Amino acid sequence: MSAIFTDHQAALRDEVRKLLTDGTIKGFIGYARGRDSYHPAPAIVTRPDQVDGLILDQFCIFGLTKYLLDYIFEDGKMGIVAKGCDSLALQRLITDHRVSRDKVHVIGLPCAGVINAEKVAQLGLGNVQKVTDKGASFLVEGDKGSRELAKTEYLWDKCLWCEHHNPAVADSKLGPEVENVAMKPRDYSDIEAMENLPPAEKAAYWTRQFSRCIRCYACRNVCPACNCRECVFDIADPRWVGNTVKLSEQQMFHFTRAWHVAGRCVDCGECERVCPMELPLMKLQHKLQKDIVKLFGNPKPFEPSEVEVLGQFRATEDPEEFM
Amino acid sequence: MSVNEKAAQAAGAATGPSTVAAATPAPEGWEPKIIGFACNWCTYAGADLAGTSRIQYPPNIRVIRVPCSGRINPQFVVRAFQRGADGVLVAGCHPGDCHYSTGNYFARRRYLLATRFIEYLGVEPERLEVRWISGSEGQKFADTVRELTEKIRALGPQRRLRETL
Repeated sequence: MSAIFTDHQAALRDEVRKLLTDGTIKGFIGYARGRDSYHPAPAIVTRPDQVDGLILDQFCIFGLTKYLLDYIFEDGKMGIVAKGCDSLALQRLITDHRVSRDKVHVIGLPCAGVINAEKVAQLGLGNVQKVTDKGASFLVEGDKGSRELAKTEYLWDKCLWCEHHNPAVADSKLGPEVENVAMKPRDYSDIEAMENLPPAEKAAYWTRQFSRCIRCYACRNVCPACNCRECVFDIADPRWVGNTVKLSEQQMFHFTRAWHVAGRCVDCGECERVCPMELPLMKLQHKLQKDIVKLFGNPKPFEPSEVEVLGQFRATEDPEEFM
Repeated sequence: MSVNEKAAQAAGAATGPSTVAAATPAPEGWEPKIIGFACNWCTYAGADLAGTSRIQYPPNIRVIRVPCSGRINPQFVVRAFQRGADGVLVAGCHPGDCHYSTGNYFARRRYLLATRFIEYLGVEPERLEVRWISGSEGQKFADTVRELTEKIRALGPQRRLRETL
């Protein structure tokens, strides 16, 4: 089972060139070389001669779907490349009626896991020349050395328990589907550990986290579930909500952000990944997720559905604690 | 690794100096301040019945009348705490009795989740109470307010979520 994205780079370029030339799409959202070989950058190409700038490699982690919102009022189709997790994000936008399915051409990318570039960049391998799939590990060859890296250690955490290796939404797929098994079961032991702390320590922990927030809104902007036309925090006078940089309003912001995507989060982990202050935002999302599973018996709340968890009820089956 | 060790690790050395004054004693003459969100059709009528029936309950609750328990956004609860509430009561019609048929069912799902989430952020679970109180349950309203007031008096002032400069 080889699942190296680079193997599909040429096929991706060919397909995008064809789609752009025959006018199926007016632009394509993909990845290009970023500041170094560990950090690809998002790229939007609109002409066939730009297509050779597109890349695919084992560090292409970030979801591109949110860029589709920039094109919803324009005519024509946009193309996009989507891994399994990105396809859930896309499903979220489609289910929320923010992106119309017939205005997006999805090139699906079966994925067996993405390497955590932040961990590998510290190993001093220099510019990465080649990545080879060795089954349980990746062989990463850089110009200053090479290392064999165990997948369980060097993949992103979300890839380890991922059960959506193959894109759920796709017009065409690059390469064969990969075996859809999680490398380890999803576990919420860190959330349980937090729950068991005394209230004072929980409060101290979150105070320490929220006080570092710089209100850059990167978490909101990248989140496929945070897709309101007008965000409550963008209103010039948000009244009692508050949008200045001070601890209480940061508490409010993070409570609201997590709460507004409760039961709608697709568990892509992008909020936490993009945070420049490294706030553990997925600890909020996983707490909500864990409780939704337990309280409402919805085993996979991160899979978008037409009716959201908090947009429905079961009169007699929901737990009753308030009598 | 034990759960507690893991927890300490997860909390990033939570044993360091805490930024939250937890054990500061309540100032003299302190009285619990409780914000009660009451639905117009049941709980507000229940509170009214408690009054007209001359049932005594502590004056620590400030009732805010809302159309339905489904209107009580959990953000209201967080904001109430930040603006100085020591406790919050969220109350509405019993399931099946909602004036708008289903508002309280949505509120029930929402608060099953929100109570746990607010507790996760470090607020003591006793400070947020959710109760179904009908228009005929004046006594239940009075009892609920009395119990909540006593629980919060024992806990002391709420300092976890406070308006900051």
